[in-house]
Amino acid sequence: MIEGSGRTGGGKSGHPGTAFYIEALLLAGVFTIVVLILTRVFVMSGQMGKDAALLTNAVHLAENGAEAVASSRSLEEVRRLLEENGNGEILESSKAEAAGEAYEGASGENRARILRVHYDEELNPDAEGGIWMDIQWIEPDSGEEGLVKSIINIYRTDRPDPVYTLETEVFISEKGGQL
Amino acid sequence: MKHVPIKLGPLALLLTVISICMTTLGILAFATARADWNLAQKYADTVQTRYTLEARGQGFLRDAAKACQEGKTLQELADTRTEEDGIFYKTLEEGEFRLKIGIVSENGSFRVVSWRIQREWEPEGGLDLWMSD
Repeated sequence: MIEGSGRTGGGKSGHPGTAFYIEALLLAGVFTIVVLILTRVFVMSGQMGKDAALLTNAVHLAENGAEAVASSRSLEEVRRLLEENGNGEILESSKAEAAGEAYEGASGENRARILRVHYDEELNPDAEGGIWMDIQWIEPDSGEEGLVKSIINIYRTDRPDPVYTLETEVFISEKGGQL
Repeated sequence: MKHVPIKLGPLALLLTVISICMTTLGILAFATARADWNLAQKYADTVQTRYTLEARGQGFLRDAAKACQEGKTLQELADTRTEEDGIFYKTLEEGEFRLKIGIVSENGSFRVVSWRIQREWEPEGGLDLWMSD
């Protein structure tokens, strides 16, 4: 029998042996790995939960924007409906182009304009807020009856791509108002 | 001085129990977060579909306005159904959603009298409920 190789050490001396150290090391190693994996799982879960909340908020905002578009005859009317505490601004084409905004569907100069409305993380109107909604108002080509296309993008400061995009169209009759 | 021997058995058992508990919590947290994400995605897709349908409906109104301008009647519009009350109905479908638009002819133009978005839903059948004898 090898002296000092027991799990609790070397017999009566009470000193731990090699097997004890190896077992303790293994135990600590396995536990550390488990803790690390679980930490990663918790972090991932937390991020996924935050993303889900952000997406839900973005969809709510986009819905509000789409309803405002549906009940307006111009981008100025949409602004009047959505703006609170000076959190809205209309970007003219040159400024919007400079900001690198997409101009899908715009056929001529100034055909598409963007209303930008800012919100804070709680979705309260805030002119300096980190979440904003861009509403593109794309008027039809001349000669076509007033079917206005609107692309609504929700952005957040820390993300280059839109969190959510919603497209809708609204028919504006020349005989006054929407039908 | 007397040395107390350290035994790894109970410690290993304790760490195993802690690991199992934490793993269970981790799985539950992940499952909940994933369910939240799936629900948010489903909501986002539903809103997308609803507004796509809305856009198609607005396109139909444009067609109706054009037809009126050209002196055509609403009956000439494609895929419309006229009901007894004189309302012309157009039904548009997108995924599970259906938009039913009702318009009536009025002074050479038209007026929207119905705009309903519905969703196909069937109650789940085959529920095995316990029935007492």
